[in-house]
Amino acid sequence: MISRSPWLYHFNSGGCNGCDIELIASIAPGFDLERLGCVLKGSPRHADILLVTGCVTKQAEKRLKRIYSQLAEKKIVIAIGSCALSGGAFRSSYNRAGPVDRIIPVDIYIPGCPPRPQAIIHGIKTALERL
Amino acid sequence: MIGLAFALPVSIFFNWLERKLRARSQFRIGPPLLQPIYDLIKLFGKQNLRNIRASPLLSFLPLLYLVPITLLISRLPFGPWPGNIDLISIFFLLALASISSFLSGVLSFSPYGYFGARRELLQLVSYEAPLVLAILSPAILYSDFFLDRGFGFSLILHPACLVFFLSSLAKLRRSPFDLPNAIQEIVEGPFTEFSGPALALIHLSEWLETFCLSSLFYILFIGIPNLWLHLFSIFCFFLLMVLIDILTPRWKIERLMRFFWIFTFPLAVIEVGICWWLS
Ligand code: SF4
Repeated sequence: MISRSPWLYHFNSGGCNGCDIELIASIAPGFDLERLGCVLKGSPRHADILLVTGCVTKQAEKRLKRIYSQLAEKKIVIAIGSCALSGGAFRSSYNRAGPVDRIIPVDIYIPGCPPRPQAIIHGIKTALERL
Repeated sequence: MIGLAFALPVSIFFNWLERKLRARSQFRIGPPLLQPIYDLIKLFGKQNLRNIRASPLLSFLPLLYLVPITLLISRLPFGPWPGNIDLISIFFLLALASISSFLSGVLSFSPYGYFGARRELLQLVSYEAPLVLAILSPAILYSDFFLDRGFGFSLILHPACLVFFLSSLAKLRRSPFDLPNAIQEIVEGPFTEFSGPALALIHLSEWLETFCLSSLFYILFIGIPNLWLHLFSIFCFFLLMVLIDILTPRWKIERLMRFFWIFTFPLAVIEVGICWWLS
C-alpha cells in the first residue's frame, strides 16, 4: 500500500538550496504531488520515502544515518540533484563526506542541477512503480 | 452501537473531503477518494518503531485515545436510535481523550512532544470549562442529565451553541487553535514519536473525535430524532470547522487563553445562569 500513500521526509544534507526549492515546487500548486497521495511529513518516523538533497557534509553524515534509521520499514531513499549523486558543484570540497549512496542505500537517483519538478515527480512515480 | 457503524465511513469520507477542500482552496487537485483508507492500511502494515528513551507505556496511549471516543460514540443517541449515557460519563470520556494526547507528549521524551504536551495542557485549561458549561446548559434548562434522546431546540441556547463550537475547535486542535500539533513549529507535537499501527490508531481516533463532537452538538442543541437531519447537521458542523481551519492562521497561546477566559467562559457562565433561572 505504500505505493498508494507515500509520505515524504525531506533532508538537505548541505546543498545550495536549489534542489529544495524545486522539491517544494513539485508539492505546491501547479504540480501537486498530493494527487499521488504524497504528503510532506515533519517527522521521519511518519515517513516512507526519504528525499535527500545536497552533497552530504561531514557534519550531516551522522545525522543522515540517524534519520535513515528512524524511518520505519519499509523505506525508500531518493537522492535528488547532482550534489547528492556525485558531489556536483561541491565535488572537490574539503568537508564532503561523499555522495549519498556511500552512506545509506539509495533506490532512485534524480540527476540535474537542480532537477526540474517534473523530473522529481517522475522519480517518485518510478520508485512507487518499482514496489 | 448504530452510531459506530455510521461513524467509521462518515469520518473517513470527511477526512478525504477536508484534504480535497484544502487542496481546491490552494488551486491544487487533491488526493483520490480512497486516500484515507490507503493511508490507514499502509500504516497498519508498517513497522512499529520504538524509541528506547521513551516510556514503555507509550504503546498503550493510542488505545487510551481510541477507546473513550468509540465508547462515547456507541453510547450516544444517533438519529432515531436512543442512547444510553449520562453527562458525567461524557465529560469523563472527553477529558480522557485529551489526557491521553497530553501523556503521549510527555512520555515520548522528545522536545517536540514535550512542547506539544505543554501547549495541549494550557489549551485544555482554557477550553474545558466553557465546553463543560456549554454541555451543561441544555441539561439544566430541561432538568435532565441522562441522554437517552436528544434535547429539544431552543432559542435561548444559541450562546451555548457558539461556546460549544469554539471549544470543540480547540479540542479538535483545529486552526486557529491548532497549537499542540502546529506542524510548522513543533512537527506533530505529542504524536511526533509514533509510527506505523500506533499512528494509524491516533489518526483514526482524531477523525472519530470530530464525528463525536459534531454528533454531540446535534444531540444537545437540535435533537430531532431523524437520521438524515442528524447526518446533515454533522456535515454542516464539519464544513464550517474545516472552512475556519483553512481560512485562519494560528493564534499565540496568550491570545487563545485570553479569548477563552475573557470572552467564552463568561458567556458560558451567563448562559448557565439564564438556563438555571428559566428552568
Ligand atoms: S545539485 Fe545543484 S541545485 Fe541542487 S543542491 Fe547541488 S548545487 Fe544546488
